[in-house]
Amino acid sequence: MRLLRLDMLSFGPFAGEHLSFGSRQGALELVYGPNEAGKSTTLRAISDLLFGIPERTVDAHRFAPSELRIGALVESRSGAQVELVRRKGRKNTLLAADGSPLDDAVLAPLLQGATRELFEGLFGLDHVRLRESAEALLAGKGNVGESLFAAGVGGRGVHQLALELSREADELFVARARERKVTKAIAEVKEARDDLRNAATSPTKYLEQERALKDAMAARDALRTRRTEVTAEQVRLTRAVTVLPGLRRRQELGERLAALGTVVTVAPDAAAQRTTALRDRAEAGREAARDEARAAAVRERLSELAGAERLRDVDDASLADLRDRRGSHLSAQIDRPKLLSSAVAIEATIEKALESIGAHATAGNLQLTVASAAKIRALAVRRQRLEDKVEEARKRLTDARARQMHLVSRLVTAAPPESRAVVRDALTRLSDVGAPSPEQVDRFASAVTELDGEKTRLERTEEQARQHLRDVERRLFALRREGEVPTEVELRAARDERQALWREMKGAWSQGLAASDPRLAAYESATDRADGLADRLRREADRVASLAGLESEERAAREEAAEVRGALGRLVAERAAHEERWRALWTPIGFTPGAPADMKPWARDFAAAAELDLELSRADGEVARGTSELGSWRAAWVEASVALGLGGEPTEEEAFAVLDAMAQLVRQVEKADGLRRRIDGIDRDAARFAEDVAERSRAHYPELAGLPVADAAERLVRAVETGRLERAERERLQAELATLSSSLEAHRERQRDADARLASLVSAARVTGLDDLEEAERRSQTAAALEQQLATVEKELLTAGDGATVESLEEETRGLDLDRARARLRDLEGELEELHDKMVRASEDAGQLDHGVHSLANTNAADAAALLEARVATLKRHVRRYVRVRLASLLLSREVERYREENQGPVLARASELLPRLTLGRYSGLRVGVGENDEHVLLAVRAEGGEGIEVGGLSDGTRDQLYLALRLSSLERYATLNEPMPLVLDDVLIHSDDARAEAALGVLGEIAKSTQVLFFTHHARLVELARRALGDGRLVEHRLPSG
Amino acid sequence: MTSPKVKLVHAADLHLDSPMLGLERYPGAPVDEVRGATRRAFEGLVDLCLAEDARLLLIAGDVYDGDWKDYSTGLFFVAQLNRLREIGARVVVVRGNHDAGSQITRHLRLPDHVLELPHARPVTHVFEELGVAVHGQSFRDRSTKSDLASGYPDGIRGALNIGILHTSVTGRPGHDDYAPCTLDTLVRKEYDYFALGHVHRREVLSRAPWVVFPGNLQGRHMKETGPKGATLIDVDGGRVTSVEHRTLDVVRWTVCEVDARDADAPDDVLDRARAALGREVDAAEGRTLAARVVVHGASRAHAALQSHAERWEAELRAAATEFPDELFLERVVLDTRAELDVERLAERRDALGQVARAMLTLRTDADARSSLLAELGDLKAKLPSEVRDGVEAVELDDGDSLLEALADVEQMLLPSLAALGSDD
Repeated sequence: MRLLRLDMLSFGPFAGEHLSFGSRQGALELVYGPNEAGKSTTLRAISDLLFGIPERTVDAHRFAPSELRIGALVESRSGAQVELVRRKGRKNTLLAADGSPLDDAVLAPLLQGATRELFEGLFGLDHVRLRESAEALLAGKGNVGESLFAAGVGGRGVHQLALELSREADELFVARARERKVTKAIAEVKEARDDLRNAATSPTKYLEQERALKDAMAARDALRTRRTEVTAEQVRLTRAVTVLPGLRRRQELGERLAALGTVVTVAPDAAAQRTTALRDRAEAGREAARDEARAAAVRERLSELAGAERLRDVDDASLADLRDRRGSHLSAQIDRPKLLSSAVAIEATIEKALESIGAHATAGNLQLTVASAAKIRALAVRRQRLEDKVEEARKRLTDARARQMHLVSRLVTAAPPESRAVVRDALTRLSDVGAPSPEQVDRFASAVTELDGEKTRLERTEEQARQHLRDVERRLFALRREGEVPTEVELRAARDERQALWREMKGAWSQGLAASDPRLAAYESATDRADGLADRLRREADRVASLAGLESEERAAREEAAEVRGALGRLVAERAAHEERWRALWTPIGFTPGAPADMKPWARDFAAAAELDLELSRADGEVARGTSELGSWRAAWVEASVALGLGGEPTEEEAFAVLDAMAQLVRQVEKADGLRRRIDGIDRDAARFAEDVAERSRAHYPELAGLPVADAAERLVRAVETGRLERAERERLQAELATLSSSLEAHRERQRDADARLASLVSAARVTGLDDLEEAERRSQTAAALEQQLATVEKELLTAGDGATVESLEEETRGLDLDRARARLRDLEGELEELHDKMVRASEDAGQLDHGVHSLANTNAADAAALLEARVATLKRHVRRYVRVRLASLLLSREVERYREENQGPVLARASELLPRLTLGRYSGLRVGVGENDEHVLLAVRAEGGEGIEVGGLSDGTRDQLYLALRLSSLERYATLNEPMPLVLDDVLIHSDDARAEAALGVLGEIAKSTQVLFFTHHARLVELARRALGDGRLVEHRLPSG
Repeated sequence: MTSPKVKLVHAADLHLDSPMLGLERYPGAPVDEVRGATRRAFEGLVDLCLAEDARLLLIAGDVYDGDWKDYSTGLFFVAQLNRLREIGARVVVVRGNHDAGSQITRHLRLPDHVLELPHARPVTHVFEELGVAVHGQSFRDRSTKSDLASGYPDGIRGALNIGILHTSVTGRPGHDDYAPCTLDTLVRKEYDYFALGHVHRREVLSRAPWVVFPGNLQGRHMKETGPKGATLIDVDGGRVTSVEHRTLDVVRWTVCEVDARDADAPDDVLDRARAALGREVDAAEGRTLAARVVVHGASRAHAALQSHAERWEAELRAAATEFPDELFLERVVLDTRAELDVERLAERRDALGQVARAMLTLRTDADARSSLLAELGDLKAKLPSEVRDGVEAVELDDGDSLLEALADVEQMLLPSLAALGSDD
């Protein structure tokens, strides 16, 4: 098949480009396209034409996928030509020239079953593939069969494929090798098979086990029955042996009871009752005798206390009063002489003091003089305060005057020298002169700061505005420099022009418009311009928008700058006016002020100085007032000293001494008066006491009359107290006598009761008297003890005999020999132990068998079977794969060898011719040698010396040439046997130097005689080399339109 | 005879403890989910009888696998049947070919409510209280080749007559020909219902009278796909009023076909397979699915799939673990073909044409195939007998056994060679 024309109707970047081949029969078709000219696209177009456009194509960028079209004119070897168009799609993608669907079958005879891969592999070659194929030769060590086969299928990796197949087969299975997948899987299957066999329970095994279990359980049951019998006998004998001693004791007790005969049973505590009654009787007799003796003694004493009724009516209060007043009376009589002598002594001292104080004072008028003493003391204190006040006012006056002088001198110094005289003058009138206040100065100072700050800010803003404007201007300039920006207006004009031309042409049409008419050209160019402008407007929409934006920004910037400048001017004017107001403020002082901030201390000092003027006049007034107050004090003081009896103007100390002495005197007079009043009281009390005592003596105790009052009072008191004591004793004794009589009656009652109890005991024992009572009590106790023991024995028998009656126990033990019974019990014990051991063993046996049955009934055989099947499945998979890989490997090597046999002769012969030409004569040809594993290998024969070189010994370039020789030779052979396909070469020679490339082009020119050769290149140099190698006659050049 | 309203259940081919075949273990495979599947299916059958209060359970043979020796299986069978005794239900069993050869059958004593029909001659057993007469005969030995059906007694007038028989009828593919008979023979007996066993695929051979294969209870390999279970029979007034299949399997076998025709790359195929598996898992209604993925069709992805077959299978297994407990991937079969026309290739007079011709020759030339067997002799000698059994049996006995393998080899070699020169 030859490609006569390739139409890239709409494909990749192409729209209607054509390549016409075959214009010169047998010539090399050289297609030159610089980078980006669409060489790769063209190569793809050839494959896509023949095999369809792939689902995911890279060539649908200019045209939509459904619009892709590749057309061609192809010619078969027989000369039949077919026009076809390929479109992209899923079916019916082949079309005839007229667009009608074409069956893919028209291509079938031309392609001979080739697929895209096969076609590209066999008939496409580029330098990369060439180098890889050559390296594959090296990998296969130049094995003749593989090399030829590889050149025959255009493949790089026949050797690799064969290697992979045999490697996989070897991994799966190698006879007599372990550790292969299949071998291991077999071992695992066998293992699982054994596991299954072991896991399964056979029916006979199960049934045997079940039977054994039944037997074991029967044996265990028999043992259990025997154990029950033995245990019963053991229990019976043990009981008999246990109860026998009890039975015998019971019999003995019965006999002893019978021997006692008839017994009267008395109460168990009869003896105790008897003893108690006897003791009670004796005790009661003793106590009755004692009480009778005491009653006689009491009666005797009572008869003695008959009188003692005098002074009975003197009550307790009178008695106490009498006793107290006697005590007071005695101590007052002792005090009286002492008090009298103290009073006389004080009165003498007062007399003497009055004389020393002076004329006016008597003890009587002392109180009056003292009343004015407080007034005199207050006057003395006041003088000091008045003098302090005057002194303090004088000091303030001096101080203020000094400070004012200092301030004035500072104010004058602060003024400029030339103004100092004026200032000094102004300051003499301090309070009249209106100098600016510190607050005013502060206000001016802060106004200045504010104005200056505002000015700075405005200046900065002005600078920014200026910079912004400069920047906008620069950008505007840059944008304009890029070229004229199209405008809507221009577009409208161009369209109008086109429209006018069109109308003109339409008019001309009817008269017949010649193709050469210049208006046609003009219309075309007008259309182009209008379209161009529209395109640019669309394309450059961004620029247009930028320009408009910048222009408006420029206007805004200019406006802003002007505005800032205006504001600055206004501010300067305001600052000047302010300065003027400041100066005016200082006119009264008469000098030109500095800056407000600098004038602040001055203003403060001035204010302070003016303030001091006020202070001066205040202090002056105070001095005058104090002096006059001191004058009036002195007059008052002279008057007061006269009242004290002191002449002239005494000192405060003198006046205070007189006042203190007078106060002392007053206290002494008061003390003497008190003493005199107490002596009078004592005398009054003594008279009243004597009268009271005399009155009582007359009433109750006349014998006392004539006794001194204190002695009479004492005798009276003692007589009253004795009478009272005797009356109390008589009452107590009468009470005791009553108690004694009732106690005596109680003792006699106890005696009678004891007698009655003894009589009742004697009667109960059925004896005649107290003497027989003790013997009867003893017999009764003995009988009771025996009966008690009998009851205990019978109770024990009831327990030991498991509740059986005494009669049945006697029956059971009748004729029992105790020794024999014990021997029998020991035997039974032994047998029981033996039975126990046997039963344990039998239970264990049964348990094991039961467990065995259970595990036989619950095997994991099913799991084992599942595992076996899982492993069989794995093995089958490996075996299946092994069979396929092994057969593939076998068949491939067989076919490679057969291909060698059939093609080695012609292909190697032709390659041997081509190699010297391709290597510029360095190698004279090819021959077959024997490699290290006795296989046939290719040898390149060096021209010089005729030595055969293995592919491993060749340079990369030479190996490329060797492969090329084999490929071209195979292709020539292919072309002779088959419908040839175009050979598409894509920059296959870029690894070669000029000389070798030229030689190769010469060889390709030869190939082109039998097979169409399309030689694509990026390199102009190769075009030249081709011209040189082939000349005009054997070369057709094509140039791809640059995109 | 009374004619009450009763329910009967008909099952066959329990194959208790028969292992699931072909389920290779792989990481993440739901091994526990398929364990004991046949037992659980049988438990399900008993549950069904209890739930429906069935009065009679008919088991038409093949309770066990013939060569299965584990007695615990028999004990399990009895234990389950004993559950039916508690509701007073009766069971009728005939031995099938597997049971006749089974060690277990020979030794196991069945409880009183279970009636195993003798093999010496056909018998009739009348269940008076049900108004049902059952006619049947067990297999005497493993291979019973005679027509048992024709010897079955005539039906009893006034009773509902049921024949129970293990048979292949006129032969069914994949099943040995045992107790052969014709459908006509069965129909002529004029019974009301023929409860058949042996054929594992459910099939209703006739509706008047009813002749039914219920199929096996639980599929065990890739040839037993689809729902499996038993048949529930409603009887009223001495007539069968309805016959209904009840699904009881716990593991569902299925073949998941994936068309690779438009797939460009193995990943596309993988995506399709994953989606198809997802659909199958949904259809299995919560049962564990044992699935085989078969990828087929002429595909551009063929060469890539084929040259790394193991890798794609592993990827698909990994994808299967996205359905943990629900999906057991049995096998991945890459049955794709290259987009190559082998016959056309064979016309080429070049290296590739030569290989194509060689492959075509092997398709037809039995001698050429046989010669290849020698290359596999070492392998064959080592393989254990299990490999030759069961589904996917590997046979290396004659050249024909290689046909399938050679078709695969053809699809391995030719695309690889044709693609050797390409850039991909």
